Amino acid sequence: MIFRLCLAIPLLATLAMLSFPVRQSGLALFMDDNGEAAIMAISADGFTAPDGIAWHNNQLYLADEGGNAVLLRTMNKEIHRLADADAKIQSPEDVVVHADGTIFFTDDDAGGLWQINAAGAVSQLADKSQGLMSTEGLAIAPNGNLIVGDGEAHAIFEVTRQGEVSVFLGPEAGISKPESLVFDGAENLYIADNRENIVYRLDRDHKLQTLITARDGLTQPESICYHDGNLYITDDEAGKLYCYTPRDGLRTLAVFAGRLKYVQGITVGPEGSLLITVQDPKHKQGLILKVARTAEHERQQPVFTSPE
Amino acid sequence: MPDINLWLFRSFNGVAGHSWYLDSVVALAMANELIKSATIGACFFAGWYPAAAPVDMLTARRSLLIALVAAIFTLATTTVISHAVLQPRPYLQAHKVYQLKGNQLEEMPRLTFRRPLDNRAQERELAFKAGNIPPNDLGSFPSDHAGFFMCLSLGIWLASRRIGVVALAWTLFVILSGKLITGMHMPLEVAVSCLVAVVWLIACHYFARTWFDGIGDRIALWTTQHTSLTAAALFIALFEAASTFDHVKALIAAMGKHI
Repeated sequence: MIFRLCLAIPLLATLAMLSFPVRQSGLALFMDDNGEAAIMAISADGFTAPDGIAWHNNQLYLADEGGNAVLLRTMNKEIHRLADADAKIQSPEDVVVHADGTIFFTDDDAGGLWQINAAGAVSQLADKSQGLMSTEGLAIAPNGNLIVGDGEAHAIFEVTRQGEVSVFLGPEAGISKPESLVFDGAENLYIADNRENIVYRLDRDHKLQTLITARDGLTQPESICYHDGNLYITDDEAGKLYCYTPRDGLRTLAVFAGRLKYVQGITVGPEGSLLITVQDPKHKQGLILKVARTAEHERQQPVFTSPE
Repeated sequence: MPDINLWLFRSFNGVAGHSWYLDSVVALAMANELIKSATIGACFFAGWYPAAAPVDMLTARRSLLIALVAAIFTLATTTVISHAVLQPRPYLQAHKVYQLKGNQLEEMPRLTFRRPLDNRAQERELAFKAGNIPPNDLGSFPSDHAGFFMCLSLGIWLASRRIGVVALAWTLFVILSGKLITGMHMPLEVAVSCLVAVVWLIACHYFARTWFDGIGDRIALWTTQHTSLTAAALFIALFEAASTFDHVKALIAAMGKHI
């Protein structure tokens, strides 16, 4: 009897493990010694599955895709709900904050370009009837207008503060799903195409150049941000954080696995750190990672300039 | 316990990084299935055709068949565990790794690792620097191969003591030691998988004798009556066993995509 019990216990344990999903851990591996990672916030703090992220005036803005809300996390770590389903938003994707404090965000289900003014009023600056069917990437142009990527229209639009929409880069450019957009200091626009898995650069003269493809090791660019001559890219299929510079090409900075694998939005945070949203689709949760690069990390590179 | 684990690892890994020839031999034994697993397969076949009385042959074949089944269960168990528990291989722990524990990220203690001098180890390091980490390298606990080959070797030993010693020695000194020397596994990971192997081997022997009412004996008898078919089936089974059923796994994965 005891012998049978001794046999039964490990077997039952094995069967139980096979039957019930075991919660995985998560790993972050850095390719060099210059990275430090920490959890900045978790779902229990007040969000569900964050995607787009922005850092402005020491405050964090989140496009909570899983929670259908746009959130503000203050320095005191309080989460404030700025917009949610009551305002008819469905799946906020990307968020940016204008210098005047107006918050803009995209929604790939509800479409359009949304704004939240200083008083907290939520409204649509431009909607589906103006061609913004499924909005994804969002960036603020040097002239103050909003540059909006649309995955359904396969185009990038320019939206003025008055809500006038014009085509910035049409479908003929061949961009399938402009998931993330960012300008550098020289007015070049970087575009992450999440469907064709290419990162483009559109210079000031509106010339489009293919910058990074699968041949460089890129799998599925999810979000991009630019800082100090470095283009940072998250890849949610490979679970990687890359850095691109003209001189060094595409380098992997970190590999994420387990519950940390699905890296989403990225922005530059305090002291040049990188703030990355991570989604855990299995458990409908997420978290925010802070990745700090120690001094003398990325080599300073000259920004792109268009030929005179 | 952790100190013994580390001490043992350092003892084995300390052999690496001194001689390119030695490191290359160890790496070859790890990478080449002919060297690594063909010896175990050969021992299996040698045990299958013992120069003994027919009754002994039936007993031996029953043991070997049970060992094969138990080895598959062992592999399945260790594979499931390794998918559930994220643990980077020792050679990765020599780098900066953070582990998510609860809701905190903790940096794992850096492991002192002597990188072997062979080309394979150098390529692995270069691949790591480029951010190319095989997914399997993040599921080091426990060791699939260690459990699988330990189970088979023990089964061979139960079938034939003489041949089993060869299989066990090969498993211990070539396969398991190689894993520790090259930084593929920690001693604890190997030990746990061997324990899983022992448990499944005992369980399968027990179930074959009791719950399945002597099925092992009946199948062993059948193999003597259908030698050609048995030889063909064994060839396929041992061919796959040599690669720890990697081709079967790939086939199942491909079928799963289409269904």
